[in-house]
Amino acid sequence: MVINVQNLVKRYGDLVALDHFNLQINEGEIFGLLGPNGSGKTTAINCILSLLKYDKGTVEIFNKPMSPDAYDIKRNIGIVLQNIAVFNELTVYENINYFCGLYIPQKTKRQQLVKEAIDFVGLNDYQKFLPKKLSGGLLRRLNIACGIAHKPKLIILDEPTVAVDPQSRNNILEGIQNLNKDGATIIYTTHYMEEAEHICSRIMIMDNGKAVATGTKEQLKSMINTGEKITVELYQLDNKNLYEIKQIKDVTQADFSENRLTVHFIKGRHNLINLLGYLQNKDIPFGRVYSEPPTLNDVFLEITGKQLRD
Amino acid sequence: MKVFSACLKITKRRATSIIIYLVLFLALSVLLTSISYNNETEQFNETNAKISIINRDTDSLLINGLIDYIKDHSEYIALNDNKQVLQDALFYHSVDYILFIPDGFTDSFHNNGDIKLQKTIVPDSAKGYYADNMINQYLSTAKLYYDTSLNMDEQTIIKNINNDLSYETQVTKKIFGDSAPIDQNFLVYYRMMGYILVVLIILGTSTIMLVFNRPDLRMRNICSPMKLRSINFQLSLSTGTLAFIFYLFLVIFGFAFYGSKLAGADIRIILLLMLNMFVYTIVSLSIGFICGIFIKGANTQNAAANFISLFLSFLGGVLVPLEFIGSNVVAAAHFIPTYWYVSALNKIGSLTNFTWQSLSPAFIDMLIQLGFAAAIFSVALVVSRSRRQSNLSFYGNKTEIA
Repeated sequence: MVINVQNLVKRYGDLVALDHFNLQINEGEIFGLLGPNGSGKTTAINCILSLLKYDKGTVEIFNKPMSPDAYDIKRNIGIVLQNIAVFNELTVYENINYFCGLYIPQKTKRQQLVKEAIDFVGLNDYQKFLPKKLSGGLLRRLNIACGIAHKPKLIILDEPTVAVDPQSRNNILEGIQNLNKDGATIIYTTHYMEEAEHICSRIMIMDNGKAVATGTKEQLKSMINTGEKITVELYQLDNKNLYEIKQIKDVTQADFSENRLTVHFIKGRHNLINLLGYLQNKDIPFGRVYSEPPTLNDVFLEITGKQLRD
Repeated sequence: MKVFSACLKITKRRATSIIIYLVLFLALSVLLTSISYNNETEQFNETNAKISIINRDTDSLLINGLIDYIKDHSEYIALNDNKQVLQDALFYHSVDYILFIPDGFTDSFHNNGDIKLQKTIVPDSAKGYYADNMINQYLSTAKLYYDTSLNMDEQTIIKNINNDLSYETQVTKKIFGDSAPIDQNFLVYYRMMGYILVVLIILGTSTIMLVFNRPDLRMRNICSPMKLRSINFQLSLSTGTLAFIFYLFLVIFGFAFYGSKLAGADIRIILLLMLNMFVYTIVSLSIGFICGIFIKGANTQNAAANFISLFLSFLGGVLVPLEFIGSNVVAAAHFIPTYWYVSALNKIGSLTNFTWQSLSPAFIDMLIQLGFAAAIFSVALVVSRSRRQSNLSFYGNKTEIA
């Protein structure tokens, strides 16, 4: 096991930031910590890394107790912080070389690793640039390169895609998957459920300092009653028809606005057939039909009663 | 030594403001040295009083001889015998001394009469005493000749009086020791370093500490396997190196600019001045450290550097010599290290021999400076530690709950 956290409690005065938090991460996983802002993700990471004192519990990394002086453990961890932690006065190359140098003292080996990291994040053309000359996306890539250049076994990425354009985000996510393919175990904290769904092999949903659910995305979705959401383009629908649609089996909610009928179902079978069958029977013409399975937001909503992005 | 080399690179990239300060301050110090001292203090000049003579007696040989003598040994100012004119001249210091020769003075002088010379002088003027001496000297000599040289004609007497009084005391400035005295401009330059060193070192130290105390970078460094002690050691080493570079540059600049004036100067005095400045560099480094703990941004950095250095310099006698500062302020100045730097500097500058007895006062001043440095470093450590303990984290980073 790469990380084993047991009953972690962290308090700030009366506020309980982590409430008997447990976490187990296996080698080779991309583990997602998903939760809204303030749910305790970063606090958990900081406690795991011994950056914060905690009140209770144990943290083990690579089956050894983690502490501020556990330099052997730290040597195998790569950190990509939420805030971009680079020196504004050093060039792209110098920044990566500096952070890699904290882990790798041998100059020749380090030069090779820095080169590989630059290749990995695609910053070859920007090696001599100062960070202030880089766009937001390139800065994020530099931040990642600084965290992973020394080829750690465990990489912790704390919201690495905040305020990044979609293209850069895709590049970053692809890069994370490649790091995982190269053998690194990854912890990925985010409040973007699409990202977690896209890359994580297992996900923990956090709220108020607690783990409210853990599992693969399929396991998480199977925990809830919420089923698919079907949207149908319609020219017109009167209130009587809308009322009757709400009476169809397993429908929990139905709305019609802007020529779109949106129907939410609980878990069940033949929901699409039942809905389209009704429209056909009533001779209601319809256009395109969309069916969306439940998302992690639905999981979070059903478990906590809140939206992930609240 | 990644942290050390990064510190030097960072300082190099942010050196512009430091270089601007350096150029400005060096220009300022050169300017101040040129106006604060001139070589007249190394020479001797006879003091001449401005004297006016109002002769209400007849033009006797005695009186003409006296007037000629006074004209030769003072700055003679001709004035009309008018009360208003004479009063104005004294009030506006056009003259220091007005000598009135009353009617019948010559006869009275020869016959031991009661008519005396009269005078009006600027109150409390030292030059009045010089003039009194000069006139008394002339008249005493004249009296002696008139009373004792009965067969001598009056013209010969006057000639003899002038001849006797022409003997002047030759004044030679005595320099103790084998070497020339240290150039005063060089001393003023070193005094100015009491200001410049503090500014530069506060700016340099806080530049490095500002960068490395950024919470995200600090956290990132702490996450690495490099020991915190090693990081702090390399940070200290880099600030120390920077301070030493400043010291070395300023010493070299001093030699480059004032080297030609140091020919024949005692090398031991120059070495002691350098040692004193080195000690003050350590003091400045300690001040830079404590500033680095409190400074949070570039704006406060410049403000703090200027405020602290000016405060220390004005109070410590760098910008205003201690002689011109009130006794209460001087008493308070004992509690700042700059005072002891200037004190040691003055003592070194006036050294004429190098016995332990003459050197020890300067060394004691240097030791007091080192004491200040140790105290300031200790306070910096205590503040740093208490700030860490007051926070919730292992390393003093306040981390948001997220």
